[in-house]
Amino acid sequence: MKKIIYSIIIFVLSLCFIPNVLALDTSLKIYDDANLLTPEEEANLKLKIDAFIEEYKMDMVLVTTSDNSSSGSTKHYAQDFYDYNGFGMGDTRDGILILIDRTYGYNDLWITTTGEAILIYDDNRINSILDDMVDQKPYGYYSMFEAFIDSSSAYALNGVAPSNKDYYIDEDGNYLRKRTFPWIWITILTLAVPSIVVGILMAKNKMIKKATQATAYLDQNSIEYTRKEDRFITTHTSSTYIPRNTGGSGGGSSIHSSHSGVSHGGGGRRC
Amino acid sequence: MSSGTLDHVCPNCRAALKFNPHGQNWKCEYCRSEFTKEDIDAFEAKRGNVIDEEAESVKLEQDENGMDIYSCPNCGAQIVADENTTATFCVYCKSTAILKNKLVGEFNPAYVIPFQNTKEDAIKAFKSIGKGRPFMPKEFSDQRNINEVKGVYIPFWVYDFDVTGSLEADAKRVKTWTSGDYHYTKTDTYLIFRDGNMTYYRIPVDGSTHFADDIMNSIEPFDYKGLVKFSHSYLSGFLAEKYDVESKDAEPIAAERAKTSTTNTLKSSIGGYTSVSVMKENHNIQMTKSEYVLLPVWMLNIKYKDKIYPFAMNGQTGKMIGDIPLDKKKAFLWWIIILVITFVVCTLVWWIGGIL
Repeated sequence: MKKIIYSIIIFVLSLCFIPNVLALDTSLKIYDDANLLTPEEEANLKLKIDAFIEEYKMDMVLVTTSDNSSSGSTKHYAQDFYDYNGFGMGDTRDGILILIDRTYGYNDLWITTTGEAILIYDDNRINSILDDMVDQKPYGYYSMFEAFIDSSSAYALNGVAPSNKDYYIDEDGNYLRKRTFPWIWITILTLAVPSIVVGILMAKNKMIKKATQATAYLDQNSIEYTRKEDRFITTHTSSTYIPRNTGGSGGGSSIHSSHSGVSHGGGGRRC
Repeated sequence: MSSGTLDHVCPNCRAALKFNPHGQNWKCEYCRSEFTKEDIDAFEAKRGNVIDEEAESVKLEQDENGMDIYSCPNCGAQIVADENTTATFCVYCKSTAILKNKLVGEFNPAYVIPFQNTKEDAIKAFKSIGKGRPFMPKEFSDQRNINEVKGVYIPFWVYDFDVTGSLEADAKRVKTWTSGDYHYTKTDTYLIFRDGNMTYYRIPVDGSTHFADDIMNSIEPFDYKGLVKFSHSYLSGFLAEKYDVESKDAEPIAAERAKTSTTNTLKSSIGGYTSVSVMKENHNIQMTKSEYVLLPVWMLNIKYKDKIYPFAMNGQTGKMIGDIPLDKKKAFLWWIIILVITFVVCTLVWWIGGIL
């Protein structure tokens, strides 16, 4: 009896803390608040999305809105929609979301990526997906979303973008540079340290040495310089050009921190 | 006293008297009396045991190998010594025999540093030679390996030099900095001149061919504050040699050392450059004084695995030198262990660096 009362209290309390948006059904994947799609179009797109999720084990969400005021911008609306509704697969909440924001009277597109999807969709690929969508604009929103799904699927098939080969996603979903074990340096150190130590200790066994100097017998007070001259002869200055951003130090994905603190990749376009 | 050998006897009991390094006096092992330099000199003067430059019939004969034969003033037995020996022992009665005819005239040393440490000190020093030397075979410093220990007054030539040196060097100062997209390297070249005078006092050169020069180099330096006017009394209880390398032959060895140090001293006054290379050097070296001195050295013969290792200890400062064989197995083991530790530490540092 006690158990049941406790359960009810906990359930009621938890309802108070959970934001309303959590009531959203995350299995729908298409949230057309701006009413840009017909029910048939949505059904067709849903089939494609389900296929994508099944194939690549990554979430895919299509969102339209005509009021982003809850988040303040297209980008943040997209990110908040993803984060607060609990989209994404696995611990790192892998997935990709496309938002068409009509708030400002334009089609403001924003793609946001999370988890492993950040690695697959680098800035170049996101731009290319956006290009594909913009190309389809004359044929309507359905074609734009279809282009998004097709293009995203093609890149997911290719896997991690070449520009992200030195990066990884940690267990908290952060986009980080891979630390490669510095084999060369460690090998040099590992050989040098014992050789130097053992060399020094070995030298201690050899105490008989021929003397070549007589510094111990030099009367330091007797040293008297009769000439001390440093004559300047010539100067020479050379310069070498320093190439900027050498050696792929930056990763291929721009990272945008969201309100919830989760790292996202992404990019947008107005059309 | 026409035997040509000299020994010091106790003024009290007439037993053989030996120099005592720790007390810097003379101690009779029989009646335990101790005597100062003044006591000895006074007694010797009364006894008439002074070096007599005209002593001629001192040497009894020479054997077929060119060894000199003397008779022991104590027991009358024959004492055989090679031509360079100036102090030795009678093999029968163990009394010291100082061969006075070899310590006269040009062979009369100007100064001597008396022994400051004893045979026992030398043995003790050898037994602790392994300290800080992990690659010494464990048994090497065992007392049983000490084949022979002898305290020898070794003849040295010491030279004073006035040296005038001049040096010409090429020096470069390199400065690097980055400005905008360019990295700059500025090299200033200078021609350096240094001329100077300096004085060296008492650079020693071993005057005996019996002793290896590098061993004698290695027990340097002696503290010349300990030099006292030579007296044969100091030789009692020790072996001594006279020089067989002439002063003029030993001098270039000391002069070479003075030249090298002069160049290095001049070079050390050049500062503030990235690199300095000496192009020309010149020395004008003037030997101002040469002296014949006897310096105390403990010579040890170490027999280890059928090989003889010569060791020597400075009889004044106690500095012990010699080449110790290498325990190669142990050295290799250490190398491997340090290698593994280094690898583990490096890996750990890298790994911890990733967490932070």
